[in-house]
Amino acid sequence: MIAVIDYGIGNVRSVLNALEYIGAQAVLTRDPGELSRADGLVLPGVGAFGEGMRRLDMHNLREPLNSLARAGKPLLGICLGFQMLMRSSAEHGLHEGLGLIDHEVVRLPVDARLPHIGWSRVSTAGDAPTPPKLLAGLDSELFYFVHSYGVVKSSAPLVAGIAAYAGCEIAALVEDDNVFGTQFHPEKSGEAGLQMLRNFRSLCL
Amino acid sequence: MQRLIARLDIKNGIVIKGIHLEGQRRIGDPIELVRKYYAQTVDEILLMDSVASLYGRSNLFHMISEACKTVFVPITMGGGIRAIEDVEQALAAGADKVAVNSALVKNPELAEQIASIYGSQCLVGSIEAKRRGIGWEAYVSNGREPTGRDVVEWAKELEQRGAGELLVTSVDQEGTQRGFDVELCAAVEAAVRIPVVASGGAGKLEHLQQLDARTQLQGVAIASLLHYNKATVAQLKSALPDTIDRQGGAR
Repeated sequence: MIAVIDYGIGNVRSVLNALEYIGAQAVLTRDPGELSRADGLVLPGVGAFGEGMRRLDMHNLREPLNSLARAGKPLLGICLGFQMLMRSSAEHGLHEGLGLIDHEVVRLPVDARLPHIGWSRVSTAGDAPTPPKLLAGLDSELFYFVHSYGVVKSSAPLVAGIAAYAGCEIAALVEDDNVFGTQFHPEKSGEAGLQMLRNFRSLCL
Repeated sequence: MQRLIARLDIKNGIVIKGIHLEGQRRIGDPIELVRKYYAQTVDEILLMDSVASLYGRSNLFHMISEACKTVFVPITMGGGIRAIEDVEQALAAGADKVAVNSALVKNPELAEQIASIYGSQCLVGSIEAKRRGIGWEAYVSNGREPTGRDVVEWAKELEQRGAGELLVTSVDQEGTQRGFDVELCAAVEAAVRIPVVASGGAGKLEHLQQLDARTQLQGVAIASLLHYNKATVAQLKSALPDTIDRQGGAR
């Protein structure tokens, strides 16, 4: 069973639909017992970083998420969920994130229209130590992005997949052992996105 | 042009197509068409309730829930979004964005409310534009009611109030299949720094190329060409160098 974390933000219906479509048993929950019984966790989300963290805290989810992730349970953050895995975000003031991955979220330093909305190709980062698990069978496929803030690739070691927008290398996918995050929306990325969710699910079994 | 969007205008549960957003020809079942365009790798789906201001809106919410079970690309719902509760309901059904026109004209602060709760990426400022002298006037209610607002000024205000992108429909060109109002698209594009999507007028592939040659819009919403089987998604994408065919790779 995969638990989609319910903290009252964003389009969780599509994440549940996509998981069900690939044959996973998915539940929307914030119950700590259910979270710890789940084979894997998905932290979805759209919207503002500060509001997302505020809602996680409102439902006392920060501690269970941190401890379950540190105990090795597979966790996939999507979009805002990806950003909240990070140490901090500079979206409308400086906000502390979950800190599971030591990167910072910044406004995309591009001379182009924001939000970055659309399909971008995701490829394995040149310095990725191992082939990204979630990109198995998916190198250089297109995924759907919608964001103004993100993690800039620079030399961040845990960036597994990258995408380019207006000349800026964006962290599209991070992988740190059992902690995964995608800046794009696999549940909105057609067949390639469904395959990525299958890859995640296979790590949860 | 980065995104090819299928636009479905819906009346009483049926996809319809009008001219200048008026009059209707029945096209078919929304779910069937959404699935068809998804299978053709369309980049996004735009579902517009064309009589939302007159009748109940629950049909479209139900339709979106149904579509989202098997269609995994972004879906925008437009028509009849009047308050935060409507946005909540649209997102809960599985929509990713809402396209709002009349409600923002009546109450521009709604843009700030939606953006602050759900994020700018959730709010598409929908503008129905008609040529008036040297400029364009914004309309509501499917191009029937003038607002007195200048389209370019209104586009800037929507951006400033938190819209994440703009959908600009030319009422003059809509349904005519005589080509886009390219000047309108260029004028709005020059006025804002958020993505702009053009709608209204495409009747052949050359119309997309004409638009693409004179603007750098982020997306185009297509109805007639797809509904009347004049082109497939792949053919439309091949007419636009920057769109990407997800089966065939970048062009």
